Amino acid sequence: MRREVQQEELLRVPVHMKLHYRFPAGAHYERFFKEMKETGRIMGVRCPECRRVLVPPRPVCGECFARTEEWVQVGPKGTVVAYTSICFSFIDLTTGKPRPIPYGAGLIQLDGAYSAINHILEEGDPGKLYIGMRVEAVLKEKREGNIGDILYFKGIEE
Amino acid sequence: MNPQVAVIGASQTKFESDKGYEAIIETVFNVVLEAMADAGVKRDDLDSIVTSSVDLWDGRTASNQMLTDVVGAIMKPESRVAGDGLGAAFQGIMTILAGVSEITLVVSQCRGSMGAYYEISNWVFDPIYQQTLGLDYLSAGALQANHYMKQFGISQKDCARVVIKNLRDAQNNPYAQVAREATVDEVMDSPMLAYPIKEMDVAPISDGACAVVLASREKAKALSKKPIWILGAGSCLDSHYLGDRDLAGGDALIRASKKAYGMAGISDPLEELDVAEVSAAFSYQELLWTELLGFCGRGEGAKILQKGMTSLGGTLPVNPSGGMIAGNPVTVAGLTRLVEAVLQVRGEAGARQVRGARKALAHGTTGCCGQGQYVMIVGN
Amino acid sequence: MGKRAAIIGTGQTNHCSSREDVNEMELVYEAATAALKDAEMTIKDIDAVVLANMELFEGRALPDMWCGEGAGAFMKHAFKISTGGTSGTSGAISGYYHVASGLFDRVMVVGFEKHSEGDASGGMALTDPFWDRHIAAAAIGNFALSVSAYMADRGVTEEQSAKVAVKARRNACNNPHAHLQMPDLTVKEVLESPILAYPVHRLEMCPQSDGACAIIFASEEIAKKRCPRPAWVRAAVTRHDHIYLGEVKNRLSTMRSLREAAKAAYEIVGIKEPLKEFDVAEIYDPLTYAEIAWYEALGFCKDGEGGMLIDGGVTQMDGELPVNPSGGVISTNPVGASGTIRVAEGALQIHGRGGKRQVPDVNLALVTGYGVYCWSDVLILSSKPY
Repeated sequence: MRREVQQEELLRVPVHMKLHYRFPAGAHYERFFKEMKETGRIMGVRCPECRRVLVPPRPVCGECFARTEEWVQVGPKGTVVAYTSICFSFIDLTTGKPRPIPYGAGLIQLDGAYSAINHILEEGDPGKLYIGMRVEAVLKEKREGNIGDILYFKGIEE
Repeated sequence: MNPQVAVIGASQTKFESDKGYEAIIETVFNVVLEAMADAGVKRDDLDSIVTSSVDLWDGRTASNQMLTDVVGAIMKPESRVAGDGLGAAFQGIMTILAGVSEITLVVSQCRGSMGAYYEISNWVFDPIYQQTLGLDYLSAGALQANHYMKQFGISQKDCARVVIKNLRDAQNNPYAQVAREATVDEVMDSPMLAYPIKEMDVAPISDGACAVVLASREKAKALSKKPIWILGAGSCLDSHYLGDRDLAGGDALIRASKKAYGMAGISDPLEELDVAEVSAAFSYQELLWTELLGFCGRGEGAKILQKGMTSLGGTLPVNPSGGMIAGNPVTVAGLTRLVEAVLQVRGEAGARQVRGARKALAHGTTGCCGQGQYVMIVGN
Repeated sequence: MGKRAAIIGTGQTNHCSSREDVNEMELVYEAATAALKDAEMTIKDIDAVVLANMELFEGRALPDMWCGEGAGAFMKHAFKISTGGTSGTSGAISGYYHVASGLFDRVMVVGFEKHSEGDASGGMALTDPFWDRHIAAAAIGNFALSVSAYMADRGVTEEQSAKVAVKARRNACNNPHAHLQMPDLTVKEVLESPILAYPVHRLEMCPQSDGACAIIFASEEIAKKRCPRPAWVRAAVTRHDHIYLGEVKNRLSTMRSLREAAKAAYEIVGIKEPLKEFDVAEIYDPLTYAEIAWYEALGFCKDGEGGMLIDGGVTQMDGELPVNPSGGVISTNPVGASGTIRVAEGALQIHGRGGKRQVPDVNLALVTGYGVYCWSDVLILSSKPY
């Protein structure tokens, strides 16, 4: 049962959590980000067994439990397979500040890839977004070697 | 009763201060492949997977999700024990005894290098009293050390001898992170961290992973030339508040070990066990745990060590691998003890092999100052 | 084969957005004592304790160390299971293993979460550090993505989704523990609530709740002695799938982990027509659209007919298969406890202790858990041990 108590009588202990981590990226992410930074190319890996091209690249195809070593260029064009428009305020973990809303987000299947990737869409109006929409990655001028190097995906006419 | 569960595969990585050269999933994939090769099983043979890791040390939520691909868990049952790897082994044993699995893979991984080990350990304490006082594993360990050492007249030099034994024996362990000849003076001269604990009394911060493959009696007999049987297992949780516990004692470990000994039919562990691998994050803990495990009387841990009874070649070698003093990837420690115990009983422990080892004890702890205790007995 | 095991008691806290009157350990204690009372036991009768919780949401490491005291784990075997949203069901499955293994006879499982103490959205966004953190929008954004694909694929409408919300919040009024109880909620109100991430409205999502739920498992001998109508565990199955969102396209439409887990569980028990054979289902519905998708994945209907089940009232309290008489996760969501609550509610229906939310004559109950976007647990509980 809930205890009967006045709000102002409640004792609260504020604790602020600040922890720092260094995540080792591993060889696959390292190569993916390096390639994107230096050449602007988006790369995937092909599973030697099921032949699917996986993006983001990873050392193991979970489906086949097989090591992936063959690199394949994918995109930069692709197709929206799912979309949304984010309308609630949300802390951007890379800046610690709320991201301006609304913004579009989608699952984009890059040309040549099996897996889709989640990323930001330039178009934020759900009325103008649709499944099957063709899009293209827009990269930063000065790339830093992280997934933010893809600014967003913009709609294209084909 | 015949033992129903066996370890048929075991593997561990080398423990290192920073495995930043590879992603966690690469480390885990390699260690899983090795354990499966050791067991002679393929991914399709796995009925169940149990992992152990802790979100705060991994810096991500439901952190076992990153492992799904590399532990072969796609479209299979995986569950995670968020604590010591020996707890995960416990769950693994239960999947087999419950009849839902014939072959279960148990995997534990941790990267001490990734976050702030002691800061994170502060978050283990209750947020209202103990956390705000700044307790962490080190300062709490120092409280326990003093309590235990005062009560039984254990000296800092007694503890230093634990360090010397473990670092020396670790030279026989290719997976050890720290291994060398050291002297009592060296340990005594190392910087004081929290009285009476000095830098060399503390396990290093490590990266690593290990894995075991468990099998039912039938599968073990069919698949394995050297199945190592789980003869007994016990576990017990003590109270959380340090002030509620007898820090120099510890009913939890006494109960956990009695349960395991009872199942394994052991009445005199010093005589009947051939080797013990215990999870001691601090030098004093090895002495305390050996007492609570019943290897000697209370307060005699230092005495049996000084007599060489717990050294390689002694009556009951404790931590011939070097123990946690030689490498300590937080949640991996307990499962590593099991891997070492298995290697010993198989006679595959290389230069650290205890001659003719037939029964071995593996011990794991979770939480602060051994709040949670796990004991397993394995034998051939 | 393992030993038979049954649920003989359950207990829940009152769930709400902020239980500031208690700390996390006390919250656990509240659920544990309620379950002991329900099973007419004392803590001395319990051999082992399994805890389930998502520690990052409250910012605790190894919260079982502190909260274990509240569950009476002192001097007992205890550990914690954490597998995202499935924590509560996976914890219950572990509790079942404890008894089925023969190692323990009386085991308590406690799922708990105190969302008000931390930042759950931030916690949930702490996924792949190299990818998702830059672009993700926590659970809601990720759900919205798969909803768009699901709607396009199966033609499910906004109205059908809203009807799930109305059903859930009305059912919740019969459950004294439920967080969101809305007796007068209408489809119009649901669709007029703010859009969080297109097309998902606020009232279509689960809330974040503070709460805990405890279950007591017992071996056959003890269950028969202590409980007039034990809820026997007949199947307990887990299936995991990929973690990358884009790897599982059309996630809600396919949801193969739930399909595979259900298939395996149905096979164990011999279920052929789930809609007819089950008397009640407590399924983990993180949002309204998922409930409709799970109808299809669980084989209550053919693919594409999920919307018709809700239109036809088949899953209402008086329908052929009442789904979530408790109000479900979209009415009450303390994540680590959400799965445990499903199991407890399923057992409660078999015990016949459901009060105003009791479905008449329940012999077979289906329970599911859902976590980390595409992991599934399925349990089948029965009034008969075999």
